[in-house]
Amino acid sequence: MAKGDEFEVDPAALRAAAGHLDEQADEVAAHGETLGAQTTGRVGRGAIGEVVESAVRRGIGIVANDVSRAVRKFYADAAAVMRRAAAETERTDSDARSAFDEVGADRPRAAPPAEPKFSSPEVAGAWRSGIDTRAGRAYYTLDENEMRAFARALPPFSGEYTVDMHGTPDHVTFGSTSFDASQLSELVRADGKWNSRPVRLFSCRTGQGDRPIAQELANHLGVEVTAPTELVWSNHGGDFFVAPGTWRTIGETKVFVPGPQPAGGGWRTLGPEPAGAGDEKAG
Amino acid sequence: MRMAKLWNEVVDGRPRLDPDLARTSDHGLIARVMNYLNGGAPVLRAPTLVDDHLDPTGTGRVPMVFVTDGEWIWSGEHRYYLQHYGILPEADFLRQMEDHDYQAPAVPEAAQQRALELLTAG
Repeated sequence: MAKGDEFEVDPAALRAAAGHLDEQADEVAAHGETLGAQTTGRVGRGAIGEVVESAVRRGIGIVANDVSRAVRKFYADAAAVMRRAAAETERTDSDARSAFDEVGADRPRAAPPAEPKFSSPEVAGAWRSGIDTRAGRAYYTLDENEMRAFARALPPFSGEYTVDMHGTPDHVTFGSTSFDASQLSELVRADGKWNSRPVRLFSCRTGQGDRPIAQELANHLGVEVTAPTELVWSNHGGDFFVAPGTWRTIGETKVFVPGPQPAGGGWRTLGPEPAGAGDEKAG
Repeated sequence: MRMAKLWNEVVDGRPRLDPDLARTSDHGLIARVMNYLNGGAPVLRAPTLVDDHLDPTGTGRVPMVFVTDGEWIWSGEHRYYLQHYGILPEADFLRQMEDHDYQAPAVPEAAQQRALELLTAG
């Protein structure tokens, strides 16, 4: 074990970094940015330290920038290797170096699969900016960090896969780009966590009117889609409800806030229609 | 806890800007105020983009999100209209920002809860 100025790797810091990587395996991607911020303290210095440091930073880079399950698995593996490296560092630095060579060697084998094919660069861009949440997946731009935080706070709907993004009765929006049901169905299919479960659209008014986007999405995916008939709200603690917006006076100003909740709760479940029904062919 | 001013009346479903609010073209001031408004603790949101009420062609522009610094509540609209029109929050709120060097302070959970109650107390 190295001592004093020769001490090049801090096993405790290394274990802490490993812990960050695998303790929250399911939420690693969702918490990517936070993790990056929490784990950027140095874990070592000197020649061996640099090897460890670069491996840890490479890991944080992947966590912050990628969200696939393959990467999460890689992360669990990498964390195990880091723990082993920490233990070995307490014996010899050269063992630490060889342990970290394994991190590098693991990466190509566990690299994420090729990105799914999308019909347009806009859909592909939305997919890449999406974040995994407890409930499913959320699509907000990088500067919408609050919307992402709200989406992460939302609990899963039992047995359902939730898509969280800005909505209207006939389209959903990512940044300044609108997507129709067909494009939205690409985002659902691209996510290996969907598993053909019924879909919950946590997306305002996507179940409103005669033929909302929720119906078209159900036709495209062949599963039931549950969507709000009015605005859908959620708070910092993950509580949610459906309610139309209404103008109220708060203090000295008019504010557009949730009004009374509709009878029946405001959620509507739409099943796939037989081919040929409605305006559009079922997908 | 105070709701920051923006609209002072609603006519035929369309809100009118509070005439007490000042506008600025001082980019430095806009940047400082925006820095404060971009902080704050999240309270309530709806995943929808509301219209720009000052531009009849501006449909679906403004994220529906409310945040608080523990004393004031403001929304995505305050950010949007500052950024696009230079519309400043009211003087009391600007003083609060200046007192905090244009960095919104950390907010205890109880304050988020109070803000939520104010917004949903309809």
